Amino acid sequence: MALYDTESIVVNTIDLGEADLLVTLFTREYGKIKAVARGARILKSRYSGFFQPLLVLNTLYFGNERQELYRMASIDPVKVYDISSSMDKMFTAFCMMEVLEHCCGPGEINLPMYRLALEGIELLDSGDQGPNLALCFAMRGLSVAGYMPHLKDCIACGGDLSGDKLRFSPSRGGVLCNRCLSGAGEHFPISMGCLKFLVATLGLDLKRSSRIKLNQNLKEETGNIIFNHIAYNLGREMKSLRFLEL
Amino acid sequence: MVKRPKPLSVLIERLNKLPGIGERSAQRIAYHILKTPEKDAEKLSRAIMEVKEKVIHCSLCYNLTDQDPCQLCQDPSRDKGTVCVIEEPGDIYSIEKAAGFKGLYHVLMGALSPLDGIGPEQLRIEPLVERVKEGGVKEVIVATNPTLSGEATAMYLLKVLKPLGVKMTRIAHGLPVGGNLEFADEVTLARSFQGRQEL
Repeated sequence: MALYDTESIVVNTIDLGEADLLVTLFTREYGKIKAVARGARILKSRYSGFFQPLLVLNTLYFGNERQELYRMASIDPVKVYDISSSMDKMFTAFCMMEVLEHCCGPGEINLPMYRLALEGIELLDSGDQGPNLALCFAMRGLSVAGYMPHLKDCIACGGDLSGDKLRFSPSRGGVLCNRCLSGAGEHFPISMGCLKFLVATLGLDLKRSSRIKLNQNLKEETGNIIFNHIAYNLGREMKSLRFLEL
Repeated sequence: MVKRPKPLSVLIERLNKLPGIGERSAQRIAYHILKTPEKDAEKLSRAIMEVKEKVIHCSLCYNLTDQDPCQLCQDPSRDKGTVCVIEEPGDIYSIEKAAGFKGLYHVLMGALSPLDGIGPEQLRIEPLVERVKEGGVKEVIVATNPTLSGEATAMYLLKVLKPLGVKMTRIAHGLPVGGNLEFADEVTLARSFQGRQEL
């Protein structure tokens, strides 16, 4: 039986039994883990306020090495964040949680992803998140997790992407020019505006994401591209993306 | 290996499918049913069938009831101008036990949960909007859980109902009565400061 002491981000919680919670934590030192917090749903529990999504905690949990489910021993918040003050903040938070849930494998240590998540949470808390933070975070998350789509040139021929009939192919993992469409599987039209935005997000500091202006059509197009890329490459649906339009 | 009689195995298997009941508990309940008089077992099975046949959702508030509209919606002494919005029918009984609220209810049958793909169309939000549009509702009290999903639902309700000119309020967050500041967690304490009231 080992005891693990590390800083963690709460990624998700699921009700378990009468009063327990099954908590998914993205830990700084041990990657993504699941742990049971006994009695966490009882109002007078010492845990009750702590397992709010994207809260950063100092956590102590225990269990056998390489086991799939741990037990929480104690928690202590690093800083109290407020992400529930507006609908935009909350739905952006849901997207960030889903990116962390989908892009991080159990027990996979990913410090750049952890830092990215912290940066995103700080931005949400400060209220400077801008309308495109969820999309920027998703793209940066894909890049950090090793699922970055190829956007520089045509993924099939390496040709220039200056034509007006560009397509995005999730199965090939990038953009195709008009000449390379045969045998590319399912593909979607991608506009030059959307492509430029996706390229820009990869090298962009999240703090500057609010500087990029996207109209509603471009936002929807970008959301669709990210949705299909994740669905094909990770086999998971980014269900929270459609909520950004509410 | 000696096997259990088939009807007993079937009962254990069925009980095991209920939430919060593991195989051991299912066995214990099944053996208890075996020991009880036949009349009691019959009453139990009849109660299960009756609950399936007779309990429906109230067409106005979506509370669980055996008559439509439910007892609460029919009660003339209740304030029809105040509607308390809750996530699940079970929340009504918690609020009623507190005995401070004399208005009507509206059960959403869940909360917005983007991670599970539960959007406004899966909840009973549209009937609530219609109820407010019909007139007579002066105040909507949003009593969804103080979780991220509950808060997102509250914000969404504010967005769709506020333009209709109805007063929107949210239940307070903070310290439990009889609690001690020293033992309060930081998140709850922060919320209680945000929701402070003028004396």
